[in-house]
Amino acid sequence: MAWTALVVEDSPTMRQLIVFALARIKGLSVIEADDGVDALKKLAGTKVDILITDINMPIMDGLKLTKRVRSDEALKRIPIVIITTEGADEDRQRALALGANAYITKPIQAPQVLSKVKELLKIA
Amino acid sequence: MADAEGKEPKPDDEGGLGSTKRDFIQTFFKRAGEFTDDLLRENERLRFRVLQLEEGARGRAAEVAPSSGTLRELAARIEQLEHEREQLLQRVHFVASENLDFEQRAREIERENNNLANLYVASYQLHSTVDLRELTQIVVEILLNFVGARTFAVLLLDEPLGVLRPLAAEGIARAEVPPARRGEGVVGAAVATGRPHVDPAANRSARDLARPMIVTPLRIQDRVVGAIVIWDLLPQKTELAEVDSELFNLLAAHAATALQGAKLASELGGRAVALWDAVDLV
Repeated sequence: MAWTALVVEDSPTMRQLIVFALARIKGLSVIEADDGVDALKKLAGTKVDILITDINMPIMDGLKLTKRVRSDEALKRIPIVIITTEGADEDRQRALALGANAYITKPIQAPQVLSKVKELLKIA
Repeated sequence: MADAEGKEPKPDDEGGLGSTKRDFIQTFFKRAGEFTDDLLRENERLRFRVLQLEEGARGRAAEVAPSSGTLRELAARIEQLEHEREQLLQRVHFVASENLDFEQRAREIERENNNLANLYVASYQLHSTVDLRELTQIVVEILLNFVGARTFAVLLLDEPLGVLRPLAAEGIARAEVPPARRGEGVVGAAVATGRPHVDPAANRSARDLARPMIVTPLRIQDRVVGAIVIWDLLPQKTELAEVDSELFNLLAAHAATALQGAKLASELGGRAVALWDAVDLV
């Protein structure tokens, strides 16, 4: 089985950390985007199985990206994991209300990311 | 007594009736005697039969019952099986305990892998550029995203003056960063000694800029060139983990050399210097 994950994060450091963590899932390839607009371009050209996005990004943030993906007939079923520094409950609720499937707060731990991605992709 | 015709019975008739009664009684007693004899005989026959059956039963019981030798063998076999069972149970317990150990070790290895991954990424990023602005941003990201620091500053030492100047700050404006001098206060003491300061009991609910939680001197070998000062952590970061101190150690050394490299690069004013020119310097 092969999957593709799209990691949307403006910080190269965080992006590398997430990509490094995801590399442990056999059969999962990762593509990267700097912000929401870049992500939408990549989603138009590639079949993506899961989207992992930061909230605070320039140009288009993670919440707007989630809203756009959920309103697009071709993309709306893609599972979305939100990663952000915001730990408050209302931020979590806002992200989930917009259609995110999971929410991870920074500082992120690789096992947490792996566990959510595996759960959403139904990988044993 | 009168008969059916009202006549009294004659003495002969009385004698005839008496003889009939006697015969009847004699026959009755005779038959009773014969019946009693029959019963006695039957009783005797049945008692004999009971004895025969009892004897037969005893014989069969003797045939079925094992000998004492067989019993001993069976008892020994039971004991051996019980012993084997006990050994198997002990082995099962041992394997279960080994599994727990392996599980624990696997979790520890997994945690170490994650820590190493964090350290690798942080180290890789610190040496990915010589642009001072980019590098400063990377140090800020490491502190924010890896450590989970909320209010912090990166200070560089102005060596001739002994003053620490803020290079970057997060959660606080750069202008608000408390002034620090080498050898003065908590920050100054850490810079003067080169030893990190950790105060996990620092009040996290109300940020106190006079009482930093962590001060990590930035060192190039024994020379301290600056410090990272953390006043508080993100609310979801409840405590410092083992990897955090590794990150501080890594930052202490690598951030210092990377910042020094970036500073020198900026002093060159963007002039490209061929690496092989360094051969003459060695």
